[in-house]
Amino acid sequence: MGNFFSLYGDRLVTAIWTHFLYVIVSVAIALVIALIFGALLSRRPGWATVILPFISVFQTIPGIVFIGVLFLILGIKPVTVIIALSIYAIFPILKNTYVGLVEVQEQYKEAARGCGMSSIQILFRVEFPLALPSIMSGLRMSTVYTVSWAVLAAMIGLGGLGDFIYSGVSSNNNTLIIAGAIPAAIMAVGFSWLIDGVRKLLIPKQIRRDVK
Amino acid sequence: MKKIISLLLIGLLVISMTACGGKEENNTIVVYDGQFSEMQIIHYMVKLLVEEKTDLTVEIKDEMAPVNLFSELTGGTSDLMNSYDGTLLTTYLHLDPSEVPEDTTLYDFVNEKGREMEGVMLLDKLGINNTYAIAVPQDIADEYSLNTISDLAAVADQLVFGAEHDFFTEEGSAKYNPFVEFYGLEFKEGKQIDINLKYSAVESGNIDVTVVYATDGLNRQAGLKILEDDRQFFPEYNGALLVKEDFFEKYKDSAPNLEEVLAMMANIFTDEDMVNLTYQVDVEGSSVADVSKEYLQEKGLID
Amino acid sequence: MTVDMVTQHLFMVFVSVLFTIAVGVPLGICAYFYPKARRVILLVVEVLQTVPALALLGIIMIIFGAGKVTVITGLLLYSLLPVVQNTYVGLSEVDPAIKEVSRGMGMTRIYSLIHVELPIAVPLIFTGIRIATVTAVGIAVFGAFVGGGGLGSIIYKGIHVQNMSLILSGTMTLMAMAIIFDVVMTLIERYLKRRFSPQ
Repeated sequence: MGNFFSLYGDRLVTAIWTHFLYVIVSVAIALVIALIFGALLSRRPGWATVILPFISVFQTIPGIVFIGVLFLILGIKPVTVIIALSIYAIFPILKNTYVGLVEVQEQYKEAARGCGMSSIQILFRVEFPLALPSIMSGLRMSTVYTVSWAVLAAMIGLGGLGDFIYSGVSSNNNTLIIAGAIPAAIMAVGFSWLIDGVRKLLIPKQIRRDVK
Repeated sequence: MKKIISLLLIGLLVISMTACGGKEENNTIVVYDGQFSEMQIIHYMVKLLVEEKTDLTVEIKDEMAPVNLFSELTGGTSDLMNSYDGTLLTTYLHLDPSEVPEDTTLYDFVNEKGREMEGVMLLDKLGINNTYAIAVPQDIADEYSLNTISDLAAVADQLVFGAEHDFFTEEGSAKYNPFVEFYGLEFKEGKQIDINLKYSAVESGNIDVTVVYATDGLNRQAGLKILEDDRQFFPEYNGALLVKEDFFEKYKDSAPNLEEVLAMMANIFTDEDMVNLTYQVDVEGSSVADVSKEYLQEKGLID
Repeated sequence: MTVDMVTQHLFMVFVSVLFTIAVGVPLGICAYFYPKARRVILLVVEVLQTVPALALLGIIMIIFGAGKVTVITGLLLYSLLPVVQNTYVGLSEVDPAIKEVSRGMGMTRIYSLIHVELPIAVPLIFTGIRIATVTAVGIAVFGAFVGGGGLGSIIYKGIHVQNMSLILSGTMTLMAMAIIFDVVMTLIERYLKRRFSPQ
């Protein structure tokens, strides 16, 4: 065990940090884009039935193909990885944002209109807060997925925990695989709890449904 | 509700049917295919030879990653696979070329250890030495007058080196760190690239120097020049068929001449032959079946 | 690319989605009913998500051997997160007032669950299933590493030999599959909504 750390310790720490950064940046970008588009689509449910399946389709492009094509255009730079990860991260958040907003019951919006709120005000002060659980669920899912997908960075030599996982898989070295997988799992769970904590902060106890 | 249940039951039924396939019979040789054409070609040739000269059927099933192929073999669900002595040594037995005793060849050493540790053995060498080779694009070779790996020493700091993850592990003597130390090379950068992206990385100029396999037809497509291993750093990777120790025992009733038949494949290739074969499949798009058949016919081994 | 590969791929995704629903929805319901179990269930499902696909399949292969069963099991485990999480959230977001009314009307927890809460949660649950299906189509390409067939082999081959048309034909087929699955899901969801709409 000690031998492993003396050989790989430094590399592992760098890998974890790089991986962490990829996730944070990509999810942040994805969140902003998804919220904007989710809100826009909720105004036009008709478009959504066409656009959402279309976007969902990008999720099926295998990571290696995406990165493989992207790096030919953009080169082996971190920005290539971030673009690829952000695009993948958008879908779960977008979908959940859209559904969350669309499912807000008409009566709440009516009441707000009755109070004289403008459309924008209704969006921000009624719809988003009510859609928050759904949005947070999407964000949480997306973050966990991204931790898993960020291993793609290693496919073009840009670090992250994928280095360990791919090395381990190709050289049949289980220690390497585990060295990559366990920090990834811990990171995912950590992010998940973090987001859950934020959710608890944002949604006042009174209207939270999961508190007994 | 009922509909859902019946759908689930159908689903279960279908799965159990597919899962229950493939029971061992002594007149079938089960082979799981490899992911690269060299392996697929060799497997198909085995199929053609064995099916013509014996009563056995060779069933080539869906492809798998090499390490999974090995576990299927040792686990008994497959009977044969193409492999290399160097690969068996390092990837499957977790040994190192430096452990091979002075007076033994790697091939013999690995055969012994293979039997001891996993109950597997290599059949005759096929004639290919699919070892690691250092390659650069032809234009870079021309620019810096590169012919051997030692020639790289002078210009290494201007070049980016890229290879698959496997090459960069800390353990093992035929890896990046020992390699650059041995030849005294200090590359500008050493990148780990997915093996499937390596060729496009070198062709697009994202990396300048890479590790390739000597018998790969793709080297030609990518316009790569292979630099001579003048100080003999890389070990041998002799191709041979890998089977379990009791392989011939198993088929001795249904195909007593099996050992003879497979021995026909000894030294059937040269490196150049394999480069041509893989080039035809990978670059020209010919089918593995056609290419294999043609080759065996030319060699007069089948009709 | 052969028809065989396409049907293999479709088959693996289809069967795994069925199982994901069969396992994921009940798990989500469990998490909803038993707050203590919730933490554990969500944790396990998330951790499964982060295990790299290749490593996960390798482990499953030790138990089930090579082939489609391994891929389907792997897809099932991988797809649990969206379904379980969305089921749980969907159910917990049901207006407490409605739940009180059902309880007041004398419904048991289970009855209320089936006839009141689940129908309301359907949109979110379905979203989870759709996310899972779409992801499954993409991940099933790993079948090529464990003898499960599917479209993975031509895509990886295309990348390896740099044959754009192979890559494109494989990827386009995947995308078409995802669209078809998604459209079918939308239709099913609409149908369910009509049949089971609350009151």
